[in-house]
Amino acid sequence: MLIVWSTYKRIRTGILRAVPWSFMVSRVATGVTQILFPYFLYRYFMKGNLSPAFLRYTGGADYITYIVLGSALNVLAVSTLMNVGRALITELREGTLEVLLLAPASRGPYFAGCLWEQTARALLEFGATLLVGALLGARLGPLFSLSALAAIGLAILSFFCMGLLLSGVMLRTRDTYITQNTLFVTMSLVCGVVFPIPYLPEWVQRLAQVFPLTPAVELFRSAVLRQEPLSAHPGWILQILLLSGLYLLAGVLWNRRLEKTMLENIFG
Amino acid sequence: MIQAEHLSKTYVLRERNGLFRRKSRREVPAVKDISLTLPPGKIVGVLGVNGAGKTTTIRMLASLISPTSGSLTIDGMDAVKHHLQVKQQVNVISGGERNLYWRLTARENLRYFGNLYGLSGRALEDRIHRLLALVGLTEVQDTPVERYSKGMKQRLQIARGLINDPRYLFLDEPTLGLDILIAKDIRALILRLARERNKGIRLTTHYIQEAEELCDFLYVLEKGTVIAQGTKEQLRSLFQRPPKLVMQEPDLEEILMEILRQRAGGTAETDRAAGSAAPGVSPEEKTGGGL
Ligand SMILES: Nc1ncnc2c1ncn2[C@@H]1O[C@H](COP(=O)(O)OP(=O)(O)OP(=O)(O)O)[C@@H](O)[C@H]1O
Ligand SMILES: [Mg+2]
Repeated sequence: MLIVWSTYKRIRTGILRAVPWSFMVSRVATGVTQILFPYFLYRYFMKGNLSPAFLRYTGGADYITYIVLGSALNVLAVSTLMNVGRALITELREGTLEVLLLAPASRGPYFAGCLWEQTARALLEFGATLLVGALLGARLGPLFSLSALAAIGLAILSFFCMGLLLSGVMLRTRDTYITQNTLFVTMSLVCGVVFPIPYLPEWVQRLAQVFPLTPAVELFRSAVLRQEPLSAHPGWILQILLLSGLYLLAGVLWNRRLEKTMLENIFG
Repeated sequence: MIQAEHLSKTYVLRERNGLFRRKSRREVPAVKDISLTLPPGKIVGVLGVNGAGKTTTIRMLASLISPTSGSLTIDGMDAVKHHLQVKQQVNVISGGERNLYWRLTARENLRYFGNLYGLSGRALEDRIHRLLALVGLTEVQDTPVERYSKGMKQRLQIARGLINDPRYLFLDEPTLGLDILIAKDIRALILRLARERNKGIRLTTHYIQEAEELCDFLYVLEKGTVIAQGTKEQLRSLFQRPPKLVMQEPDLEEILMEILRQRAGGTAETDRAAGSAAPGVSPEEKTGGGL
């Protein structure tokens, strides 16, 4: 617990002393453009006409609310994955990894501290995206229902677990840029963020199921758009939990192995 | 006592030859069959040219990497198996400006590292207070590290290395890049840590004078093996025979030593205050000595 708290404080202090705003603004901007692009397409290209297929796939959702919810959750996914995933490689680049590994502390609480620190920021971005969405006409009334909040919580948990694995990938490949951007672009295209995935080829739909964002975004929408209780979708919940468990296990095992060899790749 | 027997470390490098060709595997035997002991209260020096395997040895002793073969015990305990207990009892201080969080202040850095060792509260604050005084950073304790000079960062590193009150300390070129006066203070501190606090200290340095001044026992490493060992007196008799044990670029080193010796011999404190060169040292030489 001590390490969770002190890691939280350390990162927070560092960020506040650096350039907190540009970072946040850039990510809110990403979320906003993600809303704006489909919004303009819908408004001026399709003139507000939705295909019957869309209505069938989404159970008659209103499109603006649909994309706003999707994009907001996507922003949350990106920031959680990015911050947890990059934590250790940032230490490596800033030259503090060696002393971190020198201490007998374990990595679990360290990552929990990272998650805690970043969730505060990510929720702000999430909120900002939703706010802009509301200005564009999304109906977000039921956002503060218990099931919507629980869906957000589940989503964060699954993004965190996936972030642990991503951390391993980044350390292994020594790359943050390609890894994170390939992943994030893929996720925003196949996970049903701005359009329902039945539009996609069958095999892509199946691929989309490995990202917890896919069931999470459905769960979130069902809670807000149709005000359904979480218990209406045990399948999605199970999928999120199962994927979280898998990613967690893989991440922990891999990180444990990596830590033994990681320093062998730092030259004295 | 730390006891290493027949330690070896072979790094495996995977290199890509060209973009699409397969990676090739290359083995680098960095340390080959080294045996050494580090008793509490003693300063053991390890000398050797660049790439001789000094840092690799330290990393094995500190449980940062595991040896390819050989055994390592610390106070009779198998250090490879019980690496978490080992980590509580050792610490590493290396030269250079890494190993600190630059955006945090000295106090925040020490607090974080203390927490990593499970320390907190009053006890930790007291220790931080004492360590900052010890390395002379009390006045700047609330300034972010990025605004520190190299020497200040180095001194903070020393405080960091002492945060868990380790029984064994591994110093990897601790005076690298420091001016002679600060280096001298640090040497005095190292000596006190061994003599008064009974810490076992393993010192790696390229400044032979430093080794001569501090070390109770010396190992000379080359290409990963120990090629000579003994007390200063034992080694000095070896050094009179010319070849083999030359450290690096002896001419330059001798000049450097000469400058260092003159500086260290002069009245250091008044020098620092007045900012004047020691007698007989031209300004250029003085800059050279600070290296
Ligand atoms: N992570 C690594 N992977 C592969 N080879 C390495 C690695 N670190 C060091 N080496 C190689 O191992 C040998 C010993 O390196 P080491 O850093 O231990 O030397 P050193 O005595 O500390 O040198 P220096 O005086 O320059 O600090 C060198 O040949 C070096 O190239
Ligand atoms: Mg070295």
